[in-house]
Amino acid sequence: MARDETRLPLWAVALLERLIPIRQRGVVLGDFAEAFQWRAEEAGRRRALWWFWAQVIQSLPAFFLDGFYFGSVMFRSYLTVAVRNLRKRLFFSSLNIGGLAIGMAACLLIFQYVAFEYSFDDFHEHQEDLHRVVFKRTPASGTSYEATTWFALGPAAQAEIPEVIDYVRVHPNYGPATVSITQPNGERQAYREEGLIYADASLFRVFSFPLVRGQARTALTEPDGLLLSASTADRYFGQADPIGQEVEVRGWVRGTFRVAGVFADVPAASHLQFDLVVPMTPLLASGQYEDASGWGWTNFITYFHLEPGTGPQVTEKLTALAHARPELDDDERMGTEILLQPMADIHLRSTDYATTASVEGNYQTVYFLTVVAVFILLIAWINYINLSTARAMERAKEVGVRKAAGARRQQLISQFLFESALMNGLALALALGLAALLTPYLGSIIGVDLPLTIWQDPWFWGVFLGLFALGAVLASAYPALLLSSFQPVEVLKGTLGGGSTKAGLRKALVVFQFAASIALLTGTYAVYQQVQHLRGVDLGLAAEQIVTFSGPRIYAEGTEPADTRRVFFDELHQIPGIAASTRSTSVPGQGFSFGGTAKRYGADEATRFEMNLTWVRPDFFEAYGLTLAAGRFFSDDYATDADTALVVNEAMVRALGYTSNAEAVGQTITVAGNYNKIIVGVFEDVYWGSTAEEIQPFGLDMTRGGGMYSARLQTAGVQETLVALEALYRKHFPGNPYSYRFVDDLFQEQHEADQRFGMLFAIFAVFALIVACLGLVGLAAYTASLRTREIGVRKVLGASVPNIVRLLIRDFALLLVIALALTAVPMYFALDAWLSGFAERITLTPDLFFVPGLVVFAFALLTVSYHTLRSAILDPAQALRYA
Amino acid sequence: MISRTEELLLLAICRLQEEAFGNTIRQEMEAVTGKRYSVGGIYVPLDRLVKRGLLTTEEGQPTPERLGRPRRRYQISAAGLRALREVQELHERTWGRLPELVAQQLRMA
Repeated sequence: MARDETRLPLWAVALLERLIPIRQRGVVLGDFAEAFQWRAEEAGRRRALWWFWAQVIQSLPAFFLDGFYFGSVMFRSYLTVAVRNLRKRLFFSSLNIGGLAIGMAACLLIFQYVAFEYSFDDFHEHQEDLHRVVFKRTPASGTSYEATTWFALGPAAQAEIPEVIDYVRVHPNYGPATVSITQPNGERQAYREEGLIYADASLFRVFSFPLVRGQARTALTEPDGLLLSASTADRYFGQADPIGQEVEVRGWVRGTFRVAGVFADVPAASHLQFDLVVPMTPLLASGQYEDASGWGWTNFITYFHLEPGTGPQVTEKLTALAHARPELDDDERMGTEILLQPMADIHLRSTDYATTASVEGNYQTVYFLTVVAVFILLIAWINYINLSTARAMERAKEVGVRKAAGARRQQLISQFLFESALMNGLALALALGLAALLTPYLGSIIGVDLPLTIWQDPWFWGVFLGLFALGAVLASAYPALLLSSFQPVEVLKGTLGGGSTKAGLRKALVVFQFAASIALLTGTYAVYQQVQHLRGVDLGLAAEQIVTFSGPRIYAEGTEPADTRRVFFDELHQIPGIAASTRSTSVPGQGFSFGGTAKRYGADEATRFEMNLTWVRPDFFEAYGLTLAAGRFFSDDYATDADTALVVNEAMVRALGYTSNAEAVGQTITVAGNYNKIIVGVFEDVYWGSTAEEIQPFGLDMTRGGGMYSARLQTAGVQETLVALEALYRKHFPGNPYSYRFVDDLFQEQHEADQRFGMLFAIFAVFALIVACLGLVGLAAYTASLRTREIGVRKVLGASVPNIVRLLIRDFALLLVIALALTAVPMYFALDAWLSGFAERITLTPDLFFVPGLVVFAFALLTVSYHTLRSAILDPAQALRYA
Repeated sequence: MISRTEELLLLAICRLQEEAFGNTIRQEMEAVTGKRYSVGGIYVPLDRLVKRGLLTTEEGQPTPERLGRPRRRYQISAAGLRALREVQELHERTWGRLPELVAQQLRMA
């Protein structure tokens, strides 16, 4: 007992064994034991234990120092072995690293896109406290949202609601404006500008758009001072100083302005995009706004800068404030609720809003792509696991020898982890290069110049590298544990079996890879079919024969505009290729000119529904080839047509609740609250908006003007007609920018978002398939090599090459069929949900699932066939000697 | 040129002769110079000296009081002796040539 009292306890020995680096272990442990004994004999066990702990703590730095030195020696050894292994099986290693790199690159590209989408508007200093006003309208036809409001709301809110620090109203030009400047040589140069807005002087206070020239404090305070973006200023004036230059604007406001400042080009990640800013004052003093109350027109996007965290209170107060206004009629008061949309939500969460002047993303697309990225990464990691475990048998001998020589399991695990860290590191480096190379292509597909600033964001790198470190550890943990678990005796005796359970796991993982690839391909195929379907929908219009272009805004001095226009149309009809022409305020595919509500005259308010209007000249019906369903079109024979007549579509008749088109003719309806119109005719439904949506009720009102000109062309000699048309336009309207569009192109553009979605889908599906196939190549090569001997024996016994090939392919085919079965059901529901958003949709037929399955099968067959054939053709004598 | 600590370690090992083990070197250093080393920490400078060839080592027989662990005896090598002599000569050149007055002041300080 006495001896035990002075002896170093066993737990202390165990502790020291963990702490002391292996090289010193025996000697230092001995020192501890000896010194402990001296202490214990001298001062007792308790004192000795205190001494022991103090010594351990004091020795820690030394242990670490030494461990580090030892580690670096082993590090060199690991590196040597890892590099040798890489080079020895170059084929496997490159498959492994290549697959991982492609997977990571795809993931990185998607991350970049997702990060870009989330970065919208985050450059504003007060982003968290900025809100956009949204109207929620709840008429009988269903809830709708719009992001524009009355122009009196902003000032009233600032005056009456203390939480409102500041507001800014933005009024888009709603269509292109013509901006002209006089060049130094006296020549006038006109530009067509899509990005002109009217805004309050607070624009540069509320938002953080930096000014390059001029003062944020005084910008837009002068009613004749206009601001240009840096690139617009460059376009207009080149090297010359833009400040003070005269600019003539013809849009909602007509007048001469001088350049008061220049702002830096609006960043791509801003939902609000503009190139020219005209002060709000002249806009409110002109045209329809001049005598308006401020609570009528709702064309103004209004942003509030609020005290932090007061969003909900202000929302309540805003609605109360608006409802208290005597200017609003009951109708509007009842159906309108005012909401505040946080700045951070505007870009991704305005999908159901009627918005203007904003760049919209879709959070569903972003979520979806994130899921795809995760899947691709999973596929790549699975490849890694599969290829590593497949090679395990080969490395078993190495493990056996190492273990026999005294290597502990922990050391082997760290060796294998080190190897996969190396592989992952190489793959990551490759992936970074690949992603940097492909970013511009991705940008061109999604139609955004992806800024590379994300690469400088430490947050992005943190998440990204963290994810890959995690993946590397997870993907290599299983191979490392498996390899290090081999028993040296079994391995060296050669009795280690192939391990059917491990093959089972590999098979399950391959099924997952196939399933993911098939799912992505099915998605691609379905999106493609749907977009094709939408493009093919009969518009009911002669859209492919009609060109449309803006009418003139500038007339030569000393000419009478009405005469000039009349002469233009007279001469237009003399061009042999022109079949018909017309004017309207908007054209099909471009949206409507007015949105509001309608109901039968005298009917209950609750029956109101949303509808749209556009003003057209009487010859519009002929030019666009609309078919009359009942009544008549506008006619010059009826003097009252210009004031009271309305021609509506069949959807409007249904919405009004008439049982037949004929019944609707002659009825009076109330439009936009207080205008009464008589339906004189009904035309058969045609698409005016996107073919993705159901045809909405709309009507055509009569006008003699309209800024959009349309001309229907004869099918023959289109090129000559277009040339003649342009020459005619330039002759009569010099100084006006001319550009024409075919109406069917306007319709096609509406499918752009879906098309991009399909394109992204396709690209990443191909990425996934490539990665999965790379894994398959490796596995096929491996299984074929494992079965070399078996194949040799079979051939000797008389099996033919096709027999052998069938034998080898059967395994993969079975896995594919399982994968196909697993994907079909979830994909069916996912696609059905996606398609339910479209009015015109394809039906989900079995070929939607089988075609992608066949494609994957063909790819898989191609990939495995090389190795399969090689081993099948191999001379059996060689095969048997090989083993 | 070796450092002061290394000089003291080498001298301690010379004094201990056949008894220069980790624990004894540690105790000698503490007794003579007051410099304390931890049980594990003493091996850091010792290893450095071994690596530079100033010391040689010899693993001894395991003993029961060491729980069956060996001990390591340190011995000064020829290079170690040369290094010590260099220090000694430097000492003599610097300390031995002080003016008498300073030497007296030093003794009284």
